[in-house]
Amino acid sequence: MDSKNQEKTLDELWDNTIFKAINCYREGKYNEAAELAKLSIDIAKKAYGKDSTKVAVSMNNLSLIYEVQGNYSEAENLSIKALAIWEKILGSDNSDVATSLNNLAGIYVSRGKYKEAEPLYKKSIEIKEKLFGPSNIELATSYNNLADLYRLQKKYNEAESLYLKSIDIFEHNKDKSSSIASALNNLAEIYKIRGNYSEALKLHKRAFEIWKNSLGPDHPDIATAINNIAGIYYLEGNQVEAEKLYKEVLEIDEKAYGKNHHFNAMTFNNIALVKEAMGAYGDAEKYFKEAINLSEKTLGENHPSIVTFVNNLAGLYRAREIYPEAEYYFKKGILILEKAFGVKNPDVAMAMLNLAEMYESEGKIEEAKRLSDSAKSIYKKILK
Amino acid sequence: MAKILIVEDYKDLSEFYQEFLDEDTLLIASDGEEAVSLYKENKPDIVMMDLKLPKKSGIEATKEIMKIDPSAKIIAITAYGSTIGSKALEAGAKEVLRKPIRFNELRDTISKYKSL
Repeated sequence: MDSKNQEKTLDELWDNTIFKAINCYREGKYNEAAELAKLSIDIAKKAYGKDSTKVAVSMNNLSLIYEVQGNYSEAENLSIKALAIWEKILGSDNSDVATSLNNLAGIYVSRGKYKEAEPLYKKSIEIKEKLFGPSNIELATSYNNLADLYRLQKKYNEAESLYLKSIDIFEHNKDKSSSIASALNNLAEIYKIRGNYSEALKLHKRAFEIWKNSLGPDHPDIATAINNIAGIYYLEGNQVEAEKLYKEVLEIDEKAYGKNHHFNAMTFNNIALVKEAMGAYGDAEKYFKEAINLSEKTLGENHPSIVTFVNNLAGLYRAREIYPEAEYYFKKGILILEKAFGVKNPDVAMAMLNLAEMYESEGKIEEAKRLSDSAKSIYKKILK
Repeated sequence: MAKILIVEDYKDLSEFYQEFLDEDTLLIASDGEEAVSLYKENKPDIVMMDLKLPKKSGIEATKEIMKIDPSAKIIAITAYGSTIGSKALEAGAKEVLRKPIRFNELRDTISKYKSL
């Protein structure tokens, strides 16, 4: 094969690989997507050289996949490399550079590096405003991302105004993609915090419809949308509807991730909370135990995320005055916290005080005092 | 700086909150009646309300405070699960935290309502 033909073949191969990677990513098949994205980097390097824009595109894609998978340090490295290639080849006022800035900022947000993220988002918005004008859909995504950052920083007014701007642009462009759904969903979260549940529910339902139409009914993001609606019903006291929806979440997630994925544990826990609120204590107990067993199986017996489920079950027993069981699970919670964070930790002290309070209400005054003294000695050391 | 009313009848836990939330102005109540009266006098920004309290329950105190000030930001705290938790939400609490609370969860929740 001559070199021109070989280049054409590599070109097609790169296109094809990227296309497949994006499809897998959209379908939530992240491992396959990552393998394809890695392959596309190798192809691009071979075909166009290591500093070509196609290498940057492939690196950027892989970085987004790693981010979804929670592999943030690799995602950050790749995103920085991609940004450097784009800036070198295209200069700073370019839409690919803006996208790359946006992606890197997103990774910083995932890593909790909020201060590093904000100027990147702002720079990305500045470039897009200059290149596309104020109503371009690209800008809506950037407003949305900066709004997400402000929401995380609890700057709710700033976040609300950017979400509204972003939704306006999406609507102006008649966009029905998952991006407008994200903006609606996140604005709903702000209304929820403010206690405006009816507005929050309306927005969550709009987001759900858009996600369902754009992603299909079995995509894991649909489960998140349903979960959010269920959460509002729970807060409103509509436990029947909340339970129905949490069970739908479970069904979708089990289909997407399998029955043995730790995501399902949180849904078991949520169903248990609903059952408990309804007074169906036996069912609540069963679901809390499902959450604990599944987490122990998938994350290990001493994973800190199990503590919530263990304490919730203990709380259920305590409310029903089944003290030995409550004591067993509260102690289990304390042990996990100690193993995960060490003894000198405020969560350990708080958990000990909680158990001490239960002992006191049972009339076990000496045990209560002993435990409370231990808790005090822990937090005095922390405060020193 | 936010003014926080801590309503907790278990003295050792109340002391713990006071030690760890020392950057805020704290008001301390150990029963539901005292909570309502301190709310009336001081209009705190946030109330951390234990639900099982002597004299007047946390649910009753929440209802009374919401009558005085419908915009009150009350975070209900309970060791007794979501049955009582859902009653607190009905009474007007913004959120329910279950004991034992994780320290970051407490800080995060307080900071969320400080920002509103």
